[in-house]
Amino acid sequence: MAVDLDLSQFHGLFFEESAEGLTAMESGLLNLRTDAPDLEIINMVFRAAHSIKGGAGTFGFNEVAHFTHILETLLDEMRDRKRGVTQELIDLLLESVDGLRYMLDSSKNGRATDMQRMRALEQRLTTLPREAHNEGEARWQIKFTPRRHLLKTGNDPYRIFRELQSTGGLTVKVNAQRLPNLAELDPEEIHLDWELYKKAGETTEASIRELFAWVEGDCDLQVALLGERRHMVERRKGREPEGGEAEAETAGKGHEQASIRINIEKIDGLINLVGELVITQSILNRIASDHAVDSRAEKLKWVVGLLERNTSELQDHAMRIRMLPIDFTFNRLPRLVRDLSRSLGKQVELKISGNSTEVDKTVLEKISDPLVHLIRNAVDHGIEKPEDRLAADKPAQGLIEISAHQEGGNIIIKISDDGAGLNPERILAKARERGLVAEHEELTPMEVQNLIFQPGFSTASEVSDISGRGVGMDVVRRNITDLGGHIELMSVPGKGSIFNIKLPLTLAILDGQLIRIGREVFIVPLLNIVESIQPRKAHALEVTGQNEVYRFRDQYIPVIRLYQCFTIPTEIRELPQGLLVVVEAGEQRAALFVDEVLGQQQVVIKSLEANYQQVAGLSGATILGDGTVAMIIDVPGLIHMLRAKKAVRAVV
Amino acid sequence: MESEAADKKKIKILLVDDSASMREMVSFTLKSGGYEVSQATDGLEALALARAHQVNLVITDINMPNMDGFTLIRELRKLPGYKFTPILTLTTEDSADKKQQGQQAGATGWIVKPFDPEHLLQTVKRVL
Amino acid sequence: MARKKKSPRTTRPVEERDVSADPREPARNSTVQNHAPITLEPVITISEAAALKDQLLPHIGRSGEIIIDGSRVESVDTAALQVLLAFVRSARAQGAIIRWSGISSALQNAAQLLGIARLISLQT
Repeated sequence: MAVDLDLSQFHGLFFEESAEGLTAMESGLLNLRTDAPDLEIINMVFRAAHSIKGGAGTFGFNEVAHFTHILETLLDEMRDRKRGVTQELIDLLLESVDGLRYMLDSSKNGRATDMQRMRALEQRLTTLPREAHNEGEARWQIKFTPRRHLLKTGNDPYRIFRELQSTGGLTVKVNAQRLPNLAELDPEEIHLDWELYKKAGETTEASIRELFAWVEGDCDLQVALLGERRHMVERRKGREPEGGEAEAETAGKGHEQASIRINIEKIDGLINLVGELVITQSILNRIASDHAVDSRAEKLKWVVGLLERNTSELQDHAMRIRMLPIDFTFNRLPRLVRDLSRSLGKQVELKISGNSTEVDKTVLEKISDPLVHLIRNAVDHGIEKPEDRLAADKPAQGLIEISAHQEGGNIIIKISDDGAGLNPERILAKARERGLVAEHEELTPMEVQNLIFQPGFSTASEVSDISGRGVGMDVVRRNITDLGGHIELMSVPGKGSIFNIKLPLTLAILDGQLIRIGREVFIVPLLNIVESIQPRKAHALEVTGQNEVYRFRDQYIPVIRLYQCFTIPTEIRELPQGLLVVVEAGEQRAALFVDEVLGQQQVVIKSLEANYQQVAGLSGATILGDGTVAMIIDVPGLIHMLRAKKAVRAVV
Repeated sequence: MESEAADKKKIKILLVDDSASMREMVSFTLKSGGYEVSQATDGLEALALARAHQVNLVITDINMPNMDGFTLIRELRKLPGYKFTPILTLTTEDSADKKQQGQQAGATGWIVKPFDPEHLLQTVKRVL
Repeated sequence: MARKKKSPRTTRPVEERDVSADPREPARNSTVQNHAPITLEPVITISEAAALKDQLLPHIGRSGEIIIDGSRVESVDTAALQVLLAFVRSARAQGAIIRWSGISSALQNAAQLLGIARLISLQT
């Protein structure tokens, strides 16, 4: 009796699990050494492949199951030591992981899979010669070139190789280039030569040469030792971590802890409700404190105090539910660095630290592309070619370090490289070339460095070299500022560069500065504020009749009259009557003209789009303790609008 | 029929040495290894024996009356049935040139005297 | 391992077709025909290498599939494998595809040990 089960409801889960499995496989393969392969890693990769195969079979993704089975077979041979671990093998397996990702992605999105690509991979996988030893392991290289008449004495290479093989670990490569076609071949002469590799183990050169003693005069024999001979030492589990590798591993091991999968909408719904609860609680708080004097209110205040603590904790937990370790983004990077440095002929080491630092899921998703771009840049333009590095008295291998740590309500990500750094002259020249800087204009070193963030600095042709997408540093910066963060660059020519990125840990709450205009209260994110100042008429200036600027420190920055922007009735119209809040987004600065600066507080961000519609210049709203609604100012957006208006005016 | 088949399968070795004691020792060792052994006291006798019955391996000393080892080897190689048959010389440790001379004459390899029986058997296995 | 001496003239398998003796002449049949497989003798060592060459040479110039039966091979050495390799390459150069209908373990082991198994299309 056939039971018609609709398994398609579980497909989503299968795709997710497989994606994780593939990431684990990739990570394992990247960490696999050819000279001393870790059996645990091979086992882990095998198990992951096995799982994917099982799932694919169950859900009818037969092509996936078939392909994964081939990988499984290879991995099985590896863990049984029937197949040596070589760089070629690891690379091919990594390519296969990519292929599987592609297949699964196609299935998930209902696209057809390019089977030709998969067939080609399959072909390579099944015809990869099986090496008897692990590459990089100490091994003897034997180059054996018999003279034509070697066979005439009754000797036979076959027998010699048989003896070499008897102690195991022999790989044989034949060179048949000199072999004539059959018609011209004298069958009693030999026209082949060989390169053999034998696992060093206890074998000595003398013992090898001894096997060839009888044919010494009839051949050319070269014996050399490759790789390092290591003593057989027990690999202890707690081996010394190499930079960030250990941490990256523990992130992977997190899979073993109990976890459950939840639909992200459910989480967002929960967090939204918690936000409501927090707001309600703070209103309650306000009411309670208003009735401070009444003795009956004591009890009320006490309960409200309790409630406040509970909701505060609840809010913390809710925030953390959406937080994920930044490792989810960092883990793409080793592969990227490896592939890129290979194809560019550079040697680069990537050190990762702080990858267990947690950050909001949305922040994680949006920071991924900028990070990838920055690392790409570091490999492509930062780290020099090995010969150039040696000439500069640096080690041939370049170092890129990426780290993350938490500071207050922010996450700080640092990317540093010991490469060539930015050459200020070249940047200035390029900027002038592109018309970003006038010929005679003088800039400070900091300003020169920040030129790379200007739109139009890198052309699409330069930037898309490997990624195929036109992404410039300006887009990187915009992505970061859109998240409410900022990025800063420090570079020393010849020594290297450091990028410092600051991001809010979560997008759901915000540390804000309350300001008042007329009867309206607005919130300005603290992250964007430079300073609040009392304006002096002397420093104000009007340029070209419409733009107002104010002298702040050494610059003239545009003044934004918020009451005009948002059409708010207010008495305060002269600069000295109000206050200027100097804000920045990226390297742009502006001064917000406000009536009054109120307190600072943490607010829960509510979406305008969800509740009303998107409004230019505002990034959200919140409900204050007294129940009133306050708008949150989108600083980067406002500044951008200002420039656009200026540009329009300039053209007009 | 079966004994014939068994005969056919047994590997035949021709041992050539003018020293009786040497022949005894080597012959004994080889027989214990399951081989069939025929003996000759010099090159001349060996050549005649080789022509008469095909063997699978020839082990020969160098210094012998009537026909020495090198000549024997050269003559054997001229015979169609012995073009590629393994031939081993018995040499002494300090005669590197003798080893090479043997190779030049067409020998497959050598065994260094004195040798223990195990080494002899292993070398024979190596060459068959 | 007995080495049997074989005269060159006695090794032609009975099933072999009478193909043109000149290997340089293009095959008359360009499509896949039912040619009988080339059966390799149990003993193919250097002493039989010339005979092996004679056995294989007439098949050069055939296009389509050439089937070789190596299931009977008991004794093989470098010289014989060299002949096989030269045959496979020459045949391929003329457009043939080599397929093995049977491979003895002796043949497989020897080919692998000499590093030519893949070159003659034996699976590793």
